[in-house]
Amino acid sequence: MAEAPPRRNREPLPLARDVLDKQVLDPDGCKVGKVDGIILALRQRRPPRVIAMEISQATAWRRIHHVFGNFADWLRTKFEPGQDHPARVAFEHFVRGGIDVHIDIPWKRTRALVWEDWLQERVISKIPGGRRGGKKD
Amino acid sequence: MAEKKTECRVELLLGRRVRAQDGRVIGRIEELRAERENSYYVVTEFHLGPSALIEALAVRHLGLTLPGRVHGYRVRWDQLDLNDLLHPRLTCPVEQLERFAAPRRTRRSTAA
Repeated sequence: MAEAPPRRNREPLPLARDVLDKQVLDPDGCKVGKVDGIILALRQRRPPRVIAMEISQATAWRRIHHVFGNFADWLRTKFEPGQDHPARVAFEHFVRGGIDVHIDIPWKRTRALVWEDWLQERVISKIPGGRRGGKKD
Repeated sequence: MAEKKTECRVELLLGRRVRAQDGRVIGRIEELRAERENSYYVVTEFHLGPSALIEALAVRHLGLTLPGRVHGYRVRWDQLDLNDLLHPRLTCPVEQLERFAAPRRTRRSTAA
């Protein structure tokens, strides 16, 4: 039996213009970071599939030179708390692009803000009045 | 972390010079167009050349072009060989590529 042709939405998405380097916002409007990289999966005799957006300093530095990228990656693996690979958001969570990139998962699930969480837990909460992240009752 | 060879990064692909089958450079990759296929996105076109750069920067120009020069190519995914990511190469003759010009400023109809 012949395989059914894939259903395509004919409205094209310009990846360089509308996704790369754009601010990522979660459903609550919280800023997650910027799209530093987009990962494609190359497939045999099929168009490349967009699999993920990467939010990582190392990815951003690698665009300048791979040596900077490798060094930033080494720093990340050495010092970043509890993370062995850069934060990736699967492209299935992409909602729309343009001025900002909207995703349909909350920022906590992206693991893009591990440093902010670490600072909040270890430093900010130790400062008098900083236990609730500076929020007032 | 070592990356699989089947993975490719858009940000590193942008700006790469694409060569024709005879080795001639025909332009740089400036934009990638993705379309939704079932539940995911696939890259269907690569745009090359200065017109593609203007398009990627989301600016309009005045339609000024040099006569006799091609300012952009629209390359389908199956017309580009990405096996060597540093040196992308066409899989078809340049004549088979679709040419395109930069988006011109259109006149708006004046409201009555």
